[in-house]
Amino acid sequence: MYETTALARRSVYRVRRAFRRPERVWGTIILVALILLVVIPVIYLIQHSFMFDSSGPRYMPGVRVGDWTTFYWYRVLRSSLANSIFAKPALHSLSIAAGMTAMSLTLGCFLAWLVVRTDLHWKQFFSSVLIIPYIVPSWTIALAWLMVFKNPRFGGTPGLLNAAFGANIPIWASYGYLPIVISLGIHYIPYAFIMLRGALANIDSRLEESAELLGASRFEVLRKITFPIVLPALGAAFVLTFSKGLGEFATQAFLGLPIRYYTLSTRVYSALNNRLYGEGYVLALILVLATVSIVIGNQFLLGTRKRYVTIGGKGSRRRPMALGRWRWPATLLLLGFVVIFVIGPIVLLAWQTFMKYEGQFGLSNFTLHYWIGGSDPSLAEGQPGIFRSGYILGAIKNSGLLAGTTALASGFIGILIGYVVVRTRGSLLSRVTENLAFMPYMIPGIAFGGIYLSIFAHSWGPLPALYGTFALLALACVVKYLPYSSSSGISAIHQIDPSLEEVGVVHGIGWGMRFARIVIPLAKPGILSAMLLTFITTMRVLDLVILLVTPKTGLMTSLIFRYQTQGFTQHAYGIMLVIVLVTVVGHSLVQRLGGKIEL
Amino acid sequence: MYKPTVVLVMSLVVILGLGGLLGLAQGVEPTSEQIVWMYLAQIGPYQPESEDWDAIYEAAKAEGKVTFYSLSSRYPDAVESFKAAYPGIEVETYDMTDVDQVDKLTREQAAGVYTVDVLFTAGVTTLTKELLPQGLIVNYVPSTLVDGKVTADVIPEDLREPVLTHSLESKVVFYNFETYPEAPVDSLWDLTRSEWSGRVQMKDPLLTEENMNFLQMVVKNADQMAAAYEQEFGEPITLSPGIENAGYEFILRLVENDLVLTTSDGDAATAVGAAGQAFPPLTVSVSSSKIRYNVDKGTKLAIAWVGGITKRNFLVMANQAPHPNAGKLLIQWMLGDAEGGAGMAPWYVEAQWPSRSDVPSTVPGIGIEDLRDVSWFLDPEWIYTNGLQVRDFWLGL
Repeated sequence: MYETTALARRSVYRVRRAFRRPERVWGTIILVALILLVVIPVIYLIQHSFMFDSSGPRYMPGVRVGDWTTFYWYRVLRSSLANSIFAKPALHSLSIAAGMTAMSLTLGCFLAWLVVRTDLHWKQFFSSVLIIPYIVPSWTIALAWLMVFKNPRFGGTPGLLNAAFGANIPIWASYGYLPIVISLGIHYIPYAFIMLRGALANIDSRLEESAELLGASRFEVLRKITFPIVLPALGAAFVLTFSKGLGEFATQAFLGLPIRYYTLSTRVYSALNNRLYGEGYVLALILVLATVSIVIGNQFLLGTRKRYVTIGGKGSRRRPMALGRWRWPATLLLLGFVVIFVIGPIVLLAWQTFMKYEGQFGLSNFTLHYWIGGSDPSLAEGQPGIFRSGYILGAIKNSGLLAGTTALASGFIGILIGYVVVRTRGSLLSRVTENLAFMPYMIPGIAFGGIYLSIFAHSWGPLPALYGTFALLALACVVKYLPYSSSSGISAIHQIDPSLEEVGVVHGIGWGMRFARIVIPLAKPGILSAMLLTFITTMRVLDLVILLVTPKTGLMTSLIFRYQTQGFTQHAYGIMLVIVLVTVVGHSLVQRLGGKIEL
Repeated sequence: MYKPTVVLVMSLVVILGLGGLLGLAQGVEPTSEQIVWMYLAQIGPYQPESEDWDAIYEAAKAEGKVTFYSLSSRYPDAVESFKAAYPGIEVETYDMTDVDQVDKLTREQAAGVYTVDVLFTAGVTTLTKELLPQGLIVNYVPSTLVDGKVTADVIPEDLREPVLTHSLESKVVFYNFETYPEAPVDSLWDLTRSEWSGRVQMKDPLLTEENMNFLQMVVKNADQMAAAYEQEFGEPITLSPGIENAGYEFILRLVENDLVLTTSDGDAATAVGAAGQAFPPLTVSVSSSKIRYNVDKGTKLAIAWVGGITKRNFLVMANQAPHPNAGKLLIQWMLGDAEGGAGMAPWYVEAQWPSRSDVPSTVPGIGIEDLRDVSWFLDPEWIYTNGLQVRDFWLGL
């Protein structure tokens, strides 16, 4: 009897001890959740890539849908079509991703440093404006590019350069590799900008000052101090941008199809859009594999040992670096860049919404009809202007609600994941969690949405079937955008010295209080970056949710899609502008909440 | 001690087992539930010869609403007029492409979720060769139409069975009538001539099944294509090495002639129709109803009836629809009357044809019967069996 009591006491003790390592408790909970929400879809993909879909009996009469087969893997990788379906498009995808990542990282990094760590003029303005290229859908930049650079052979209204100067634009400047890389490069600058903004904001200036004291030039300081410190955030931005570049569909279709320049994403889309799941899932899995390799490569190269704690317990100062005689030139250069590449596309877009007949730039074509006009049967089949349409307000509310909920949830979950991954660093739990959190990223949105529909049409134990609810929409978005939140969270927690928390432990403060009062305030820039990125992306989401929305949860992006399929370009662009407006306002609010993030 | 590896492995095993439950429905024989539903709803084999529309309306009011998937965004006016004509019935519409509708429906039905009643969709091959045989949809043809006419008298049989056609559109060659007072081409083969090199546009067939259907019908009608070639060039066609027939040859030459692919029909249409061009291109296989851009956008589009396919939009009832009687009323309403009718109005526009033969055609001289001569109607059997070979041919180009 004594033994049983002793055993009981020991077990209780062990449990209590485990709970003193809260990161392990959270880690287990998160792991289980990730397995259910992330691993199941991936297993679904793998399973179904080895099953005959409805195309099976069409290729080989007699086989049954659902039978086990390696046909699709063979078809994509080894058949005579492998070159067209896979090899050439894969090469194109890789080179595009490489080009655009190089461009957006370099520019984004440089701009973030300028805005956060120097005494550049008008920082508030640039900070808000530089996120705009990411708010508009990627193909709007492609559209703006074409408006200027279109080659007349492709008919329609001529591009600006051709119309104004009769310039003969070579085809490789209108369509194909170069325009795709430039459009996507610009589109993803805000990614790197936002992620690095958070990292750079927390660097203790005295690290840089000591270098200066020892005689380093401004450039050497950048190279030897600042750069290595932000390397983890840079690595995360690289992984995210490169993977996104691989998966980006719209721009690559828009600027590639006219000259039959195919990429993996256009191939995946075409397969899934024709319900050829076998082929589509095989290609999607290859993309997932590619991302996983990049993530692992990133972990290997940058490693966890090379990350630097920058928020120590000894107080810090943030003093902007003086640009000296470069101050005004840098500001003006940046302004020029912003005007051409950021404001330019928006202006072109807005201009279009005021055109009675699209493509005609003259003033005689000016009209306010598409914004505030009533129904006119000769224009857009009688659709009233945007602010007169009942759909819009409901859609704005739904989109805002979805984006807001997802952002809040993501911010919190992201920092939790970051905490688990960093504080159990080196363990299997840490590696598995970090990798799992990345997987949803590469599964094409439409496939992900379809799989979630199938899974949540059933009830799971105590959880009722979420089908048709707003909760499912939010869940799908949170899981799909987990990579942003988790990598922001991981980078943020890395920068916090564990000793700051240990102070709390010594004083006997519970974990919850420690987390709320110490970790969260210090990680605030990271959390806010995650929330912002998630907010913007969710405002733009379409593919992922198209099977999950109901008429009551109709979003602005579904409206844009509807108007575009009907050819109501002015309405579609108008709503896009409304999205930009809402997001910019949301961003300013977040900046206000975050207080003095970087300025 | 806690071992995450063990937890992981165990979870994976459990999940793989659960994963096995997530397959797609494989119904071939109607289940008892389906039969009971059809009996109670008086649909399918239980549909009476003459239906009592008052009784159906009463039943529909008791049901209270109808859920409707629409591939066309022009539904609002039709839905409003329906609600006005049948007070007491709510309408919930989901705006989705035909592919998304099929995706959603198959997943729902596999999970036993029955929420949708009526599908307004396209894709004759998928509907007739997959959904119908699997019992995921049921064809419902109202016995009489809104104006009392007997359906079988005004809608030809092949437009009622095996799935009910709502309207037809043709996928045509457009040219710019500002530059060319008359059609500059008189045969599909003209599109392969060097003077049109790089100046023919089409939405990527890999993005839209309709255009792949066009290529598939070209191959199916290879004999017609060979004869047309002889008529156009005065000599029999010589096939390139490795090419099976004149249909494939046409596709090859079209692509070699620098065919420009677009991401949407609308883009191709505006490229052709925009005013003030010296050398406007042509389109092939673009939806004929895009001719409305002439009114909306000031384009100068005209149709050259040299060849293409005619695609149809269908109205079907979903398996075990929760509001079948309301669904019947909606389907009947959308088929319209002899002048078009409020339910058909959004689709009774230039170059779109309601399935009723007593409705005047919007294109002078081209009625539904004429469409059968100047274009190809789709052959779902052939497309089902041979269509993927054509897709593979296109992929390899």
